[in-house]
Amino acid sequence: MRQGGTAGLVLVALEVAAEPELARISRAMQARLSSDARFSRIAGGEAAWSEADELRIFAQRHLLSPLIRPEIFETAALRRALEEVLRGLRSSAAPLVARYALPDPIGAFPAWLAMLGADHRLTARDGAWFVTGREAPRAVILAVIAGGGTEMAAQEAGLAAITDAFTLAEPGPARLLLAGPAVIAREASRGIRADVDRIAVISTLLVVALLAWRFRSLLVLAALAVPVLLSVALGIWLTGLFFGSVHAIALGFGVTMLGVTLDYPVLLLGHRKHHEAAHGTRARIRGAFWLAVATATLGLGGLVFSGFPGLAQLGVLAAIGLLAAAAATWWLLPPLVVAAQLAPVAAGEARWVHRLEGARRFRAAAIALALLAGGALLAVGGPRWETDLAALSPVPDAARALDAELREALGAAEAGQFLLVRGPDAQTVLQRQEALLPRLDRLVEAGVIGGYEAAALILPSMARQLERRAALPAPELLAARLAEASIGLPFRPAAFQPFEAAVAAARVQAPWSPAELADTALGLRLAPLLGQRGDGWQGAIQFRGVTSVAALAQALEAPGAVFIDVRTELDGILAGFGARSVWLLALAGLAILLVLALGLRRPARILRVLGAIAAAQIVTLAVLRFAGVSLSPIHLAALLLVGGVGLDYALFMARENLDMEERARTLRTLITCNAMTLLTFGLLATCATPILRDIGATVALGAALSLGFAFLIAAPPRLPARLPQ
Amino acid sequence: MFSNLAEVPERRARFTEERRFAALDQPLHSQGRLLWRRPDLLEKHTEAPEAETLRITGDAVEVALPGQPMRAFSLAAQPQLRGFVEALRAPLAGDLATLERLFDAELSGAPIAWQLRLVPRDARMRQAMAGMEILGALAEPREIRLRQPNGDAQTLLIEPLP
Repeated sequence: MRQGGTAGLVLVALEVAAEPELARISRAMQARLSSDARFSRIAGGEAAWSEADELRIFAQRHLLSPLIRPEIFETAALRRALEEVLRGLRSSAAPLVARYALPDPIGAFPAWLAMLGADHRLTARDGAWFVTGREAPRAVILAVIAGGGTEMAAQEAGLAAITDAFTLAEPGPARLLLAGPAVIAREASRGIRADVDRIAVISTLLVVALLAWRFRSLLVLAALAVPVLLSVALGIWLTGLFFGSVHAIALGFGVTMLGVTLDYPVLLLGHRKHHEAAHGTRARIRGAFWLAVATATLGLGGLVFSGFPGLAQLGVLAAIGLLAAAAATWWLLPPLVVAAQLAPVAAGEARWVHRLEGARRFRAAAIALALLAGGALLAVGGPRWETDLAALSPVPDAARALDAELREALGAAEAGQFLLVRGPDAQTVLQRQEALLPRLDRLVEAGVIGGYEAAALILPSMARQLERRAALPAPELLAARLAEASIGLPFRPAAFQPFEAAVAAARVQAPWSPAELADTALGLRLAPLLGQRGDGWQGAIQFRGVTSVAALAQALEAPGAVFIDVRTELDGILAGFGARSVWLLALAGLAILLVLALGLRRPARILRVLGAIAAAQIVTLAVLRFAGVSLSPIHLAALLLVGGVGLDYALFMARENLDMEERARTLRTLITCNAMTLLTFGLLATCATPILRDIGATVALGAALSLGFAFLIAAPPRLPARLPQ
Repeated sequence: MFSNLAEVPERRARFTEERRFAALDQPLHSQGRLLWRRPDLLEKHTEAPEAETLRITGDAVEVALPGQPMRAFSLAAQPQLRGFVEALRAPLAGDLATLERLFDAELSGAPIAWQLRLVPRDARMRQAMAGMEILGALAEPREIRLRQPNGDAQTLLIEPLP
C-alpha cells in the first residue's frame, strides 16, 4: 500500500563494536555511498535537517506555523511574548534565545516544530546516527536506491554496493544488518530460490539413488523421468499461459509437488511381470490407476477456488501436471518399456509378504487410533486456523523482526491502521486533512491515539498559508504595536528589526507546494504521506500508539477519507479462508466420493478406501494441532496433496483377488513411492523458509500415515489361501 | 596544570554572572551555585533573579524552572550548545582531549594566574560562540568570559566553596 518512493528504502544497521568504531564505519560508508549514483539519498549522521534547510524553513515560518492568527499580533499578546523573550535571555538557554527568539519573538518557528513532533529515536554523534535507549550501540544509515527500487536488478546492485562499502570500511568484528522493503523483497525470492535449489539437487540425487537401487537399471531411470519432466514442463508452461506469470509459492511448491507424479511410472513399472506385454500390466492396474489420477486431480484442482492467487495457480499447475504425467505414463511409457525390456528385478521370495500381512491384525488398533485422534481433535475444538497473515510470508522471521525494529527506531509510524484521504489534487487532499486535524488532536487528548503523522502537519495547504499571510499586520502597524509593547522593558529600539523585516517579507511570500520541500529532509518525510495515485492524489494519515481501533474508525468518518485497518482486513481474509477451506474440503471430498463410487462400485471397498484416507487426514490434523501448529492456506494445499498420495496407496492396496506375487509387487512399489515422497518432503521440512518447512513436515507426516492406514485399513481383510502358479 | 585540575573529584562554587546583549540597553545579572563532580556531571543552580536548575550528565541535559515540567534533551541534537557545555566542563574535568578536539586552545600566564583562550574548531559552533577565555589560579578556574559573533558577551565569576 505504500509503494513508489519508499520501495527503494534500505535501513542499514551496524553493531557489535564500540561506539567510536561504529561511527567511523558509518562515516566511511556514508562518504562512499553518497558519491554513488545508484542512490538517490544517503542519510546517517547529520542533525534532523541541514542548516540550509533550516534557514529556508525559518524564512517561511509565518506561512507554515499554526500559531499565525490576527490576535497574536495584538499589543497585549506582543507584550507577553517580549517578556517571555527577556526571561529566556536570563535563562541558561540564552544563546539559543538570542539567536532564534529575537527574530521570532512570537515563537512561530518553535510552534511549527512542536507540531511536527520530531521525536526521533535517533541521536547524531560523531557524524553517525545511533539508536537511543539501546544497551549495545547500533549505528543506522538510511539509503534510498535510485529509481524507487522497483527493479529487482537495481535493488540487487544497490544492496551489493552497501555491502561493498561496509567491507571497504574495514569493519573488523562489526556486523552489518540490512532491512527495508528492498531487502524484504530480495530475502523472499532469494530464500525460496536457495531452498528450492538445494532441495531440488539433494532430493533428486536421493530419489535417483533409491530408484537405481530398486530397479537396478539406468534405462528404467530414464524411462521413469519422462512423465515427470513432461508434467513439470507442461504444468509451468500452461500455468504461465493462463495467469501471465507464475507465483513464487506456486513454482516452489508446485515443482516439488509434481515430484509425486513419479509415482505413476513407478506404479506401472513396479507392477510389470517379466516379459509381460505392456497392456497386460495396464489391464491389471487400470482401475486403481485411473481412479487415483482422477481423485488426486479433483482434490488438488480444488485449490483453484481457494481465493488465494498463489494457491489457485498451484491448483492449475497440479491438475495439468498430474494429468500430463498420467497420460505420458499410460500411453508413452509402455512402448519404451517393452522395447527396452524394462521390468523390476525378480519379485523374489514372497514369504516376507506373509510375515508383513500378519501385521494386519492391528487393524482394529489403527481404527481405534484414528477415532481417538478424531475425538481428541473435536474435544479441543478442531484444528486451529492461522490468524497472522505474516505466517504466509516467505521471509524468514528474523528478517521481519529486524525490519520492524529498525523502522521503529527511525520513528516510522505503525502500519496497522491509517486514514486514506483522497482528492483530485494535492491541495484538496491537504485541505481535507486540515479539516480533520482538530478531530485528530481531540483523539490524542482523549488517549485514543498516542500521535499521528500527516502531510498537512508538515506542509499546510496553500489556501491555509494564504489565510495566514492575510493575518500578518502592515509594517507601520507592527512597529507601532512593538514600540508600545516594549515600554519599560530593556530592549533597544532596533532589537526586533529582524522580526519586523521577516513579517514584512512574508506579506508578499509565495505559499509553498509539496515540490518546495522535495529536496529537504522534510521532503523524505512527506513523500510517503502524499502522492499521486492513478488520476488522483492521496495522503495517508498514520497513527502511533492506537488504544482503540473502533473509536478511531468511528471518529474519522469524513468525505473523501477511508479508514483502513490492515489488521482487520487481513484477519477478514483469513477468517474467510477458514470458512471457505472447510467448504472446499467438503466439496473436494464429495467429488472424490462420487468418482470412487463410480469406479469401485462395491460399498465395502469404498468404505475401506475412504476409511484409510480419513484416518490418515484425521491423525495428521491431530498431530499438527497438538504440536501447536496453526493451519494456513498452505497447509490446506499440503493436506490435499496428502489426500492425493493417500488415494494412490489406498486404491492400489484395495485391489482384490490378487496372488501373493502381485501383492508383493504392490507392496514393494508403494513402499518405493512412499520413500520417494518422504525423501523429498522430509528434506523440505529442513528449509529456512517457513512455508516450505510447513509443507514439508505436513506432507511427509501425512504420506507416512497414509501408507500405514492404507495397508491396515484399505487392503482386503483376507489373504488368498495359497499362491496360484 | 590540567593534571592538577583533573585531580579534584568534586567542586562547589558560587557564581555571579553578567550578560550583555546587543538587543538590550542594559546588562542582565544573575547568581547562584555551581557543582561539578567527576566524571561528567555539571549542575548550575541559578537562585536570583529567577530560579533555574541546569543539570548536564554526559550528553543528557535537563532544565528545570519552578512551576514548569522539566525539559530534557540531548547535547548530540544541539551541536551549538555542546560548545558552551564542554568549554565549561572540560577545563573543570581536566579533560584536555575533549578540549583540544573541539577548540584551538592556547594557555598562557603562570600556574598562579593562568589564562586559557578557546576558539571553536567547528564552523557551526563558531556561529554561536566566537571565543572564550578562562582565567584561573592553580587548580581553580575563577572567571569565564564568553563572546558571541554578534557582540553578545557573558562573564561568569566563580568563587570556590570549601
